[in-house]
Amino acid sequence: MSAPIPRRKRRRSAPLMFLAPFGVLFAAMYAVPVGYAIVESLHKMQRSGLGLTPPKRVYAGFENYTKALHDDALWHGVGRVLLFGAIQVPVMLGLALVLALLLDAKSARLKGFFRTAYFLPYAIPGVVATILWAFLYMPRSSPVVSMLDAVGLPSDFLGEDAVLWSIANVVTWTWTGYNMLVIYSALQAIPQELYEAAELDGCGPWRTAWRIKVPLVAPAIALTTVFSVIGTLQLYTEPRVLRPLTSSLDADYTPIMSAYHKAVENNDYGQGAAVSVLLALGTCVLSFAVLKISARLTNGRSSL
Amino acid sequence: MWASTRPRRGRQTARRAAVAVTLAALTALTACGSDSGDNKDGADKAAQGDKASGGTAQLDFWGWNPAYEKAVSAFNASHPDIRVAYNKVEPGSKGGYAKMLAAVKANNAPCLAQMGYETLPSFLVEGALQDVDKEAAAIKAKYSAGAWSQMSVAGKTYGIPVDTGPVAMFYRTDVFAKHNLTPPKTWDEFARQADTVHTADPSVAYSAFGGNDPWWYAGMAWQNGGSWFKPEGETWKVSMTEPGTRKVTQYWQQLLDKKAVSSDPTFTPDWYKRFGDGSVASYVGPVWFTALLEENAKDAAGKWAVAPMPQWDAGGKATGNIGGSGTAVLKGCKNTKAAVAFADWMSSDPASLTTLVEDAGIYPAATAGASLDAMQQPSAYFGNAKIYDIFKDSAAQAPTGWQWGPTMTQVSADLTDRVGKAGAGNGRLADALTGVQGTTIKAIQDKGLKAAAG
Repeated sequence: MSAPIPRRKRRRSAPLMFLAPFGVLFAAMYAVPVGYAIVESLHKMQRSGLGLTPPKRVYAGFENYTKALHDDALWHGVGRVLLFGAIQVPVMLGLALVLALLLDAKSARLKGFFRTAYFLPYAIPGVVATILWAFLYMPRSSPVVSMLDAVGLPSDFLGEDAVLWSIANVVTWTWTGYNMLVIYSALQAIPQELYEAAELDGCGPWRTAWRIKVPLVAPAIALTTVFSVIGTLQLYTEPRVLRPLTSSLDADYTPIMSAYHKAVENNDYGQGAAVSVLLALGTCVLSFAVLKISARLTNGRSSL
Repeated sequence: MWASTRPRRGRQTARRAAVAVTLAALTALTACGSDSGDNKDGADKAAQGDKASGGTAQLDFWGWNPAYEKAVSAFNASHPDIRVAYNKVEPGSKGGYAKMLAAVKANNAPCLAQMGYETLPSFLVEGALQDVDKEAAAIKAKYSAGAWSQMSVAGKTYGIPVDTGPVAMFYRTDVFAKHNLTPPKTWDEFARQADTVHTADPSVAYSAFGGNDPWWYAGMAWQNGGSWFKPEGETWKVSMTEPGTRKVTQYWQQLLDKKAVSSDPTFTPDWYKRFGDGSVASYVGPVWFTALLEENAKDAAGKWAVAPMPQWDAGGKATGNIGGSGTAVLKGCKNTKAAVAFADWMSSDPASLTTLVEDAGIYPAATAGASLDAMQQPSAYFGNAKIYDIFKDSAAQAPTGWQWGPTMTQVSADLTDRVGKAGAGNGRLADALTGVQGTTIKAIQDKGLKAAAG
């Protein structure tokens, strides 16, 4: 006859068991890789002579970080994605908000169809989406370019000045529908009585949208803003896919490309890891800043 | 760290903070996965082999050339004592090399790996190669001296050469006929013809500048007998402004300034389109370009022809080399004897070479390759001309002094960026080359090695 497990002990182990699957996955997929990156960022390979004998891995202190912080190309990349975010994120979210409001409008027809249509680009993998757009950007194969040429508007979508915005276009195309869906779900959650009250008070559709709907979905907008800011800092797929097609995209065009370039192309994993860790810290800081600002603007009703 | 545990825009392939390292870990994991699978497989096979024939050596081989697959099965069919398992990986600079290096780091690398000549010293500096001097000494005589030296660094051999990339000039017979031109013998004539064609029809580029392909630029410099890299004592000397390269740089800058040649990024659909529709009239390129041209400009069949590479001095006999690769033996290979036996067979057996020539358009590094039947055949795409005759001469005329450096993946990326930009009209070629020389010296020093200009 086995002794019954003491009540208190059972109570203590139950939550642990429920947490275990998450804990294990979190450790294996997140904590360990991040920890490994930090360890790697503190090491370097040491060689001697012409380097024809195998290198040794040695502790490097903060050398990799100092080097990264003095890397002009990395800072240019950071500047580039910040500029990208400052323009692309407001445009995309503005568009998403307008589409969501249109879908939510009383007079909207074929809601299901349009909702799916707007959302569809999100279902296309980033690489595929970029390849699709690349065929519209390439100077000699693109029907768009030849049409613009025909009406006297020469265009160079992959040129030095335009390419960042060509990338912004792909990102906007892919992500507007997703963000629209988040905002639209928030709109659906607004209680019907509020609209009735507004109508009784004499609000037209415009005023209802601006005075009732937009303030009430502000937390959803804040949420999509934070996601978009993080996404912007991690810009990689689109410029990477377009890189072989134009001379305007360098190996370290964005910070993540720079980390990849250092780790894989230069085979300097310590340096790549240091850039990645710095980037993660920067992303955290910026995300918290956006969160704080949006919390203030929405009076603390953030959904995060 | 809430930001990382929430769902977010998942469009990035690399989205974790530890992107680079996770990537490495993943590569290592996949390498692990496939390799341990193969090993297990191999162990089973080896066990069976033990029973059947008394011992089978098991070799893994990673590469990207699709024709290797056929060569490997032919080898396995005729060599019961050695079993080679061929694994197709991404082309080297597109991820294959990173995967190999990660596998060496994780101690589960394949015995053999396809490797571009330019990358061999970089692998050596990462401690990822195994020398095979002992096994290779007896077969050295089978290969052209130039190719053999590309698989060696500082007197030690690390694998067997497979193919080289002798350079010739591809040209459109219809465009040349229209302007009454014959293929230029010298670069001076090349420039004059470029003027003629461009003046007569500005929509046609006389030739294509391949500046965003780093090895194309190296191939042009190669012709002049210099070298970008030289180990001197304990120091890597780097010079991308040496006299031979400077000549190339000044020359192409003039053509680019006149817009007489196309500077479109190479090997893109757009670029091939111009080869198909005749708006690019020539290209100075390597032997393996024949296969790419046939594949990507099918409509232009019969319109392209091949002539020898233009010379700097009238009557000169020097050519360049673009690309080419060998089968390298990676660190940790237990059976180097079997590894060299296979690599030698693939590079020199007539049946294997015929497969590689016909399917992949390679130019064999083995000297006997030149007399293969497949190399005497007329080529239908090139108007039934025997184009390999020209490449045979070219292969024999490439200077042998060219050497590669220890950080070629970095050099490749930097050349692509800077020379590509200068070619497109943003900046000067000379500045681009000086710039890459600087970043290369810095990259070598960052590896903890000594490097200097010169």
